[in-house]
Amino acid sequence: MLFTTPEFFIFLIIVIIGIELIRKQLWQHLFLLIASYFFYWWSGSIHILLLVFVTLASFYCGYKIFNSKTKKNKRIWLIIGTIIPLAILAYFKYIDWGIESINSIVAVFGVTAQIPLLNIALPVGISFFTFQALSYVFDIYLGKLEPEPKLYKYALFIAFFPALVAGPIVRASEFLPQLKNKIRITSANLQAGVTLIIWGLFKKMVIADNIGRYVDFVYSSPSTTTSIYLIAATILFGIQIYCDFSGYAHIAIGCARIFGFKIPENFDLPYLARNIQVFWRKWHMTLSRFIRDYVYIPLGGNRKGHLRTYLNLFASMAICGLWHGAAWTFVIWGAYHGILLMIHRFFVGEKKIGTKNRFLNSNAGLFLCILTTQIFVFFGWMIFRANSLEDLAVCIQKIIFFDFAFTTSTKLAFIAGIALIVIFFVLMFSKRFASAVHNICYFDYLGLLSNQKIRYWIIYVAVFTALIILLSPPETPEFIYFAF
Amino acid sequence: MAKIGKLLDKTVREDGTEAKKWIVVVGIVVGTGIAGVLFLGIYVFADVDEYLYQTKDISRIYDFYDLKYDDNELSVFFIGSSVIGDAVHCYQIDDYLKSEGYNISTYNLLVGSDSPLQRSLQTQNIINISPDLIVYGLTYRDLVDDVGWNSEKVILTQDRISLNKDTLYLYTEEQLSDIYNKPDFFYKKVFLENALKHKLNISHYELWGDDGFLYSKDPFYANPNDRRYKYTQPEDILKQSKNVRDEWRPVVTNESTQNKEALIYMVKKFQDSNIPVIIINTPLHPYFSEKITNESRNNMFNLLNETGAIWYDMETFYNETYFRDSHHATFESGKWFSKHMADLIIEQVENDVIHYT
Repeated sequence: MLFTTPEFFIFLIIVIIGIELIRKQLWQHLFLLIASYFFYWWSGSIHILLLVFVTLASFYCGYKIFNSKTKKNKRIWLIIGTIIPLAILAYFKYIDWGIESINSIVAVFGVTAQIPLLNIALPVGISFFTFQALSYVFDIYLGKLEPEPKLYKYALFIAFFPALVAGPIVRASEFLPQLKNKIRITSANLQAGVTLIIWGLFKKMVIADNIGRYVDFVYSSPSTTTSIYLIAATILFGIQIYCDFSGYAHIAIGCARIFGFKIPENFDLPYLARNIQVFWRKWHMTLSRFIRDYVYIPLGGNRKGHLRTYLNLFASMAICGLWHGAAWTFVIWGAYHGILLMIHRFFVGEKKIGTKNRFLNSNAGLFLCILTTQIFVFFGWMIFRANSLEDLAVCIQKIIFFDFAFTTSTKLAFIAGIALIVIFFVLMFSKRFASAVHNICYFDYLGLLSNQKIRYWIIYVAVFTALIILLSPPETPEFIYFAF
Repeated sequence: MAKIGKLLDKTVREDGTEAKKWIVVVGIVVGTGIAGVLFLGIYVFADVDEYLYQTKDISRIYDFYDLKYDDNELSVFFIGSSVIGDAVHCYQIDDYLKSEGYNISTYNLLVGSDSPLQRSLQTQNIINISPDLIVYGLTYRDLVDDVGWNSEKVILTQDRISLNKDTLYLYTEEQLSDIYNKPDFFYKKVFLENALKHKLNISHYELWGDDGFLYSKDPFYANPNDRRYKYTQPEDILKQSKNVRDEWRPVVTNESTQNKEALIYMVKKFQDSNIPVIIINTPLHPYFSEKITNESRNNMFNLLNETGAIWYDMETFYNETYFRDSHHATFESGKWFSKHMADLIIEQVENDVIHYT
C-alpha cells in the first residue's frame, strides 16, 4: 500500500476514526498494532510472518540479555539477537547477489558451472524493521534501555505503519516512552501532521516522480548520452532521491504526528552541508546514527589511533552502502563516501587545514565549501544510480573525458548556470545578502504552516493539493527507498 | 523582511491557542474540496477529451473501422507506421488506378510509431471490414521488442479494441493491463498540460481531424503541421547513422519476439479470412541501410517467408533524395512511392490476387 494511493488515505482515515472512538489505551494500542499488521500484509502478504518472527525473536533476546546474570550470557544472547535479524536480512536481500558474484568470479577462472539463482522476493521494509529490532537489542546490551515488558507495545514499535516500510529508523528509547500515555489526536497534531503529509506528497509526486522520467531515460543508456546530459541527469537524480526519500519521511512523520507520536527527522537540508562529515549528519540521519552508534563506535571509533579510525570510517560507510542494496555500485558508493570522510578527517580533523582560514569561514567561503562538497556528493549519486558496473564505467569515462557535445540550448543553459553560480558567489560577500539567504534557507516553513490560523491554512491545503493532483504523473512509481 | 514578519504574525495562531479539532477537519475537507474544484475547472476549461480526440491518430483509425462500406467496392488497406503512411497518397493512387481502368479505392491506415504487436489489436476490426488486399509496410525496427508498445494509444482506445481470446498469448501482463485499463479521469490528467497549451494556442500539435474516412484517404488533411515538409539536415542524418544504438539500425535475430509473433498471427488471420496480404520491406536511408547486417536482413526475410505472404524488398529502392530523415519520405517522394504502390496493386489484379471483375 503506497503512501501515494487513495487506498492508503482511506486506511489512514479509518485508523484515525478508530483511535478517536476507542477510549482505552490498551485497545488503542492493539487497534494500531492490528492496523499496522494489516498495512504490512497488504504491502507484502506472506512476509508478515517474517515481521512477526523478527519481532518475537528480538523481544525474547532483549529480555534474555537484560535478565542474564553473567556478561558471557549477555553476549551470547546479544549474538543470537543480532544473528537472527541479520541472517534473515542477508538471506532475503543478499543471497542472490552473493550467488551472482560467486558465479562471476568462478567464470573468470573458466568454470562454466553456475549456481542457480534463488530469485527471492525482497520483503518490503526488511532493511528498516530489522535495524529497528537490532537497535533494541543493542541498546539493552549497552545498558541504555530496559526491555519493554509488554510484547504488544514492542510489536507496535517494530510494526508501526508510518515508519515500517521505509523508515525513519526509530529507536525503542524514542518510541516506547510515547506508548505510556493514551493516544490523543489533538487539533495541533492533526494540523501539523496533515501539513507534513501534504508537503511530503508534493515533494514525492510533483518533484521526484516528474524528474524521475528524465533520469531513467538518460541512465537507461548512458553510452548514448552526452556528457552534459549525464551531468544534468545526475543533478536531477540528486534532487529526485532527496525529494523522494525526504517526501516519504515527511509523510511518515506526519502520519505519526497525527496520532501524537514524534518520530525523528531523517533530513536536515543535506545539500547545504559545508563538508562531507556534516553531510552525513544531515542525510538519512537515522541510518547515519545507527551506523555511528552500532558499527563505527563498537569498532573503536576514533579511539584506537589514526589508522584504525580511517579503517573504521571506511568499513562503516561500506556497510552503509551495502545496506542500500545488493549491488556492487552501492558498495562502491559507500566506499567512496568512506574515502571522502577519511580525507576530510585527515585534512580537517587532524591537520586542521583551512579551519582558521578567514576566507573559508566567510559567507562566500561557506558557499564555496558547500558547492565543493555537493560536487563530490553528486558524483557519488552517479555511482549510486548507475544500473551496473559497466554503466558506471561509461558514466565516469564521460565525466573525465568530457565530450563538449553541446546543442545551442544546452550551451546557453550551461553558461547561464555558471554565470548564476559566479553571481551568487560574488553576492555572498555582502553580509546583508548572505543573511537573507541564510534566513530563507533555514526558515521553519513547515512550523509556520502548522501554526497558521485555519482560514489561512486552508489556502495551503487547497493550493498544494491542487498542484499534487494536477502535476503528478498518472502512475506514481514506488518510493526509491522501498527497494532497500 | 520586517514587513513580511509582521504579515506572518497576523496569520499565525497566538501561542497557547489551538483551533478546535472539528475546525481542522473542516479545514482539511474544504481545502481538499477547493483543490478538487480547481482541478476540475482547469480540466473542463482545457477540454482534455477534445484535445485527445483531435491529436491522437489512433482514434481516427477506429473511427474508420466503425464506418459502413459498400460491399461492392474493392478496397486496399495500407497499414503500418508513418514509414509507409507518410509515403502513401491515396487520392493519387486512386486516380492512377482509375485512369488505368481499375475502380479500386485505397485507404491509408497510418498509425504513428505503429508496430505489429500494436496493430494486432486491430486484427478483428480489419477482418470485419473485409478489404480485398492489405499492403503492410514494415522495416527491421518493427521486429525487435524494445520499441512498439505505446501504452497511451492502447489505453485511450481501450473500449474500441475487439480482442480475440486466441491473441492473449501475444501480450505480457503489463500490456494486457493496458488493454483492460479504462482511461479514467486521473489517467487523462497527464494530458492536461498539453491540452491547456493547445487550448491557449501556446503549442501546436499535429491534428488528425475528426473524420475517419477523410483521415484514411489523407491522414494529413486536417494537419496544419504537415511533417512531410520538414527535413533533417543530411549531416545530422549521417551523425545519427553513426550511433550504434540508434533504433533505426536494429539487430534482427532469429529468436522469437513479440512483434514477430504478432506479425505471423495477423497475416495468418487475414489469410484465413481470404484477405491477401502483401508485405513491403520499406525504404531505408542509404546511411542506415548500409548499417543493417546481412544476418539481420536474412532473419527478416526468413520471417517474411514464414508468414506466407507475398513480400517485396524496397529497402534500397530509392536514393537519399527520397528521404527527409533516416526513414521517412518527403511529400514529393511520397508521390513516387504511391505510383509504385499503384503499379503493385495492378500487378495483384493481373495475378488474380485481387479478384477484380
